[in-house]
Amino acid sequence: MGYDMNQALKAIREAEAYPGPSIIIAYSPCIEHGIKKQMSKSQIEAKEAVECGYWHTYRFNPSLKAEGKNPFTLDSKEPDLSKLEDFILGENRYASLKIAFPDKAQRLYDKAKKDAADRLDLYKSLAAQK
Amino acid sequence: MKQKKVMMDGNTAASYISYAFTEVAGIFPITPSSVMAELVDEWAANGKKNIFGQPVEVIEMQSEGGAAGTVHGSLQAGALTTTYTASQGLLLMIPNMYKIAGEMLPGVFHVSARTLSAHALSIFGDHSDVIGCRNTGFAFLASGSPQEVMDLGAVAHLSAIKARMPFLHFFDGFRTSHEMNTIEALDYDELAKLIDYDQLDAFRKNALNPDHPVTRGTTVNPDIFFQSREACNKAVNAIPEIVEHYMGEIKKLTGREYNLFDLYGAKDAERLIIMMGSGAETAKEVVDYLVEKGEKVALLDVRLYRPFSKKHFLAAVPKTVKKIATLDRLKEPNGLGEPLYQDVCTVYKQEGIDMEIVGGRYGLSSKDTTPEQILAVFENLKEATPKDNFTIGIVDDVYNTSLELPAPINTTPAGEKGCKIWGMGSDGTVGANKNTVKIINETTDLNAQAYFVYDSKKSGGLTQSHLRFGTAPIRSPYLVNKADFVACHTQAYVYKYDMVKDLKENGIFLLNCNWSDEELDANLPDSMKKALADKNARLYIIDAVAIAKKIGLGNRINTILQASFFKLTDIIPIDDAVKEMKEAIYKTYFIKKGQKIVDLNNESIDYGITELHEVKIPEAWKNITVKPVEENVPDFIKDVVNVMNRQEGDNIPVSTIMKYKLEDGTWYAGTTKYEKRGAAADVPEWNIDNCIQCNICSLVCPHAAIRPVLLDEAEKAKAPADFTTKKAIGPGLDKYEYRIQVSPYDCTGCGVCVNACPAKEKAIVMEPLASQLDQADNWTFAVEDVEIKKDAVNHNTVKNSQFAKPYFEFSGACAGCGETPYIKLVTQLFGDHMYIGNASGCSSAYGGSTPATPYCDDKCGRGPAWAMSLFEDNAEYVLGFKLGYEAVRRRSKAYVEDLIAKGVCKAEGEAYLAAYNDSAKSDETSKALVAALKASNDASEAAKYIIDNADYLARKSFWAFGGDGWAYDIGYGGLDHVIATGEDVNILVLDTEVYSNTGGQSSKSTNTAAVAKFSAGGKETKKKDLGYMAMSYG
Repeated sequence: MGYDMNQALKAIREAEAYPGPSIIIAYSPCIEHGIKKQMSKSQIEAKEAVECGYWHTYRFNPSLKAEGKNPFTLDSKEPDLSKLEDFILGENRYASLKIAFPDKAQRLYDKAKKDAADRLDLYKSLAAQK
Repeated sequence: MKQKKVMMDGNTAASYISYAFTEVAGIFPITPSSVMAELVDEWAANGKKNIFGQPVEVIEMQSEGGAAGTVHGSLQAGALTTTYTASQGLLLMIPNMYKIAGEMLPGVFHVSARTLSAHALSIFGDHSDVIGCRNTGFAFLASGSPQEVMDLGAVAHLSAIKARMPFLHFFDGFRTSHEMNTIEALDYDELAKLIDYDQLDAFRKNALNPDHPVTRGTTVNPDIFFQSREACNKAVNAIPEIVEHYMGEIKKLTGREYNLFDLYGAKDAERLIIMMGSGAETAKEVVDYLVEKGEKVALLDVRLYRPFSKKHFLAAVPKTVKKIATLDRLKEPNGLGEPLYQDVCTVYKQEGIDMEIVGGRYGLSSKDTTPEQILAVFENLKEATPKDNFTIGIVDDVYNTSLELPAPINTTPAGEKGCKIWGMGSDGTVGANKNTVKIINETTDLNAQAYFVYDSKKSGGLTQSHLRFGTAPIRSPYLVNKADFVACHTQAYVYKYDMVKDLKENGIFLLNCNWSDEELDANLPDSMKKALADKNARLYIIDAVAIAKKIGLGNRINTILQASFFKLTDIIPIDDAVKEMKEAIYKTYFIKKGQKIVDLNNESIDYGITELHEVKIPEAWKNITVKPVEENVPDFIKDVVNVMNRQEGDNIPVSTIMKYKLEDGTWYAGTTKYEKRGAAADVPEWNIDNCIQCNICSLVCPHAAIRPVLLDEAEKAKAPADFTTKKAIGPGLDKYEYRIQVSPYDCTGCGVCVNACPAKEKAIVMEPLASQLDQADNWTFAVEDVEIKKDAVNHNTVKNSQFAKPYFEFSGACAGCGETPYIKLVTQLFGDHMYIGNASGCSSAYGGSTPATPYCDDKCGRGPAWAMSLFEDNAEYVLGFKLGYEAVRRRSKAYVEDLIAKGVCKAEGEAYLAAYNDSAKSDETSKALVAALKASNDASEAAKYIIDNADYLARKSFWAFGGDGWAYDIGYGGLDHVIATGEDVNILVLDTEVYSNTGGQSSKSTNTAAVAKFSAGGKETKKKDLGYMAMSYG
């Protein structure tokens, strides 16, 4: 919602209107994340999550297949993955790893970046299907 | 040998003792047991070693069912395996418990016993969960205090190994699991000497292993199943003596004596209470009180509940006993008596002894069990015909089961002090109190007890700290209700709660407020003034808020008030207290926050002492006549909701529950609007000139406390003078006046709206609550007297969606919550025709924790129909809503077709069928059909059915709400299945990437590198792509 509130509204309405099962996965900033800029900026945190490729906004509507269209739409713009590490270090759930387990923190941060890049590639490939 | 004295709660004691004996732990979070597994995970991540020189292998599973399966497998593979759970979690383990016991495996389950969901969920404690699995074949050991958890926890593990049978060790959820007390920790090296290594070796040798293969878990026919079940008797029969042996070993180590059945009180007792768990500790106090008066009473504290050893029972009960009362901490609604009662009756029946036995229930859902309640049970036994099937702790004025309470008694040992402190969630009060008991534990020979009570609000809720200090070990597992010292850390509470009630005569009352003596006289409610005067209280005030602000500590008032506490209670010399507090501050803050914060906190300690001011209570306060407060609200709010919100819900009798038909779990929609919590420090103020009318503030508000209002001319004419408006902009809106209205009492002050406001110059700014309170009347006008403008509502745009009524308002969610804006938006789109099934979690806690219901209805009485079943079954539950609703509706559809064929209301019927699945039109065509049928006076069964079931005509919207713990983990199987059915069910996953409600445990939604509980060392694996998995059906 914080990244693109129109997309959130659209996704919710499309899901409800679909004459079959629908699932909405809603990114929800939480006090458990330890957001350094505080919960008063929870919507801004969600925005930055998408901008750095931590999260993506997309819709998948099987009805479009009947119209010969790709059911998958990647709504979020090309993220800047180089910002991902800064983003996660802005939350104590990630930042505290460095304090508690400095030895393995960088390895896991690198893996987090790799996982995010893989996820983006997957969504891009889905979006590229005809 | 002298053991180490520590402050520990029951959960920590269970973690500590179980860690010693555990090789593998299969876990899943559930309140109030989660802490046990969290500590084990954290210690393992940091390399702590068990008795065998290894860290525990900890594995979090997708559910308790999964955890139990892993525990079972690990035991079969020959590792000593443990789990920790409670309540619904334990229920999910039952199938594997039968297996583990049937296969004679030495697993240990530590259970912080918690209420099972019935008409409602409760996170609090009673024995309904553990008693519900008494026939699995596990041995059951009960502990009643953190010390007993430590001692009997060891007995459970040692006995399991020696008996090669599984044990369930339980203690009361919250009352014991969360009570901090001064206890002695057992030494791992000493414990290691007590293990029966031969039996451990036999267990390993008997494990499943391809080097000596066997087949287990076979399918057996009628020929030998029965005989095999009888063949296990030998192992079961050996358990009591083994447990007795290890109780003796613990006594050798500690001097503390335990027996399978512990008799406490007169050896020649005539009246006996039999019970188990923490309530027994309360009963011991009452027994002491009565024995001192020469009464022949005693308590039998049941330690080993299964196997129930008749031999040991009879040996423990004095021959002089004439009457017995059993106390069960659960309700079995349709039995002849609760389980412990039936066990005791069976003993005497089998022995042919004619004993008078009555059974009672107590303490359901952590209902506080006081000495007076126990005294009532002993008094009942004095009667010629004691009441049977009785209750204590409630007023049952319908079935008259409840025993009448005697006058208050004092069972507090000499030299013990009780303190009760009222604070607000996140003001630091609870943390400071934990620190206080720690200081007292570490610097004196005194014993301490601390127990904390929270309401269901996620932020800004009420906290009550109950502290006791004394020279003798402290039992009293009940709330402090005769306090030497009461403190109120939040000024507004003087209007909300009766805090003087628990204060002793001549006790000390500390009030944190910004009033002078004169202002105090003018502002304190009459009832409080009179109560303070009548108790001859010593009243102190301090303005900690001003001090904190002045020295630059913001809203952190806790250290100031902690210093005041030490000064006034005089438990330890004030100079020592100051020294210890300063040391604690250094430890807490120096590394994380630096010297400056340390200095500020140190300064605040000094102020907490010097700024205390004693108020001389005026004589006149004694003579005040207290007038009853008038409440202009519906009866249900007055009789139930407001009573509960005053923390007086214990007084609500059974008749009131029945009057409002609450017994089936029903609660009424939209009660949060009566709370008017005023929990925010600062709330938004609207700047009319800067506003660009985008409505984004309304969209992102987690609590629906800021809304756009459109007024027509007539409404504008009626509006209060300061209800300023500007001309509405946007297509078709220019006939209206526009305003953004804030509800100052309902806002939590998170500031999300301010940060989201896109106006060049912010159109909302945060201002102190006090300056905005006059907006309350404007709010009332905006929601009561201004109609929703249906022509302005348009679901296609964010702006116009916000002119719709939110059917979800003022929930107890955290300030700034990221979940609730989605929920609110969904209700604005579909709220008047939606079903919601909610998985357990944050969204159920703020969605329906009595007395607060944020889901509300509109002026037509329509709104979301909301219900929660369990954690694991929510998608299935909502599918059931859909199928059930459609089954009734489908019959209507058939009748409509019949009527069309007969030519009755043909046009309306056809219109109805045409819009059957069209949510935009279905409501209207349904209404038109019913109206036409009524007008037609058609007497057919079809017409009657349709009219009688008019609520089942229109298309409804079916929603499953829940968090990632539900959707990715425990409920995934069901969610996947529901998607696979192709049924039109909507699922909203509020993804916080962690189990938020149970305190932040890792889920399969948790991303790589995130630190969460159960992933103390950072999550190694990738986040599950739930969306991608769901797409595979598309």
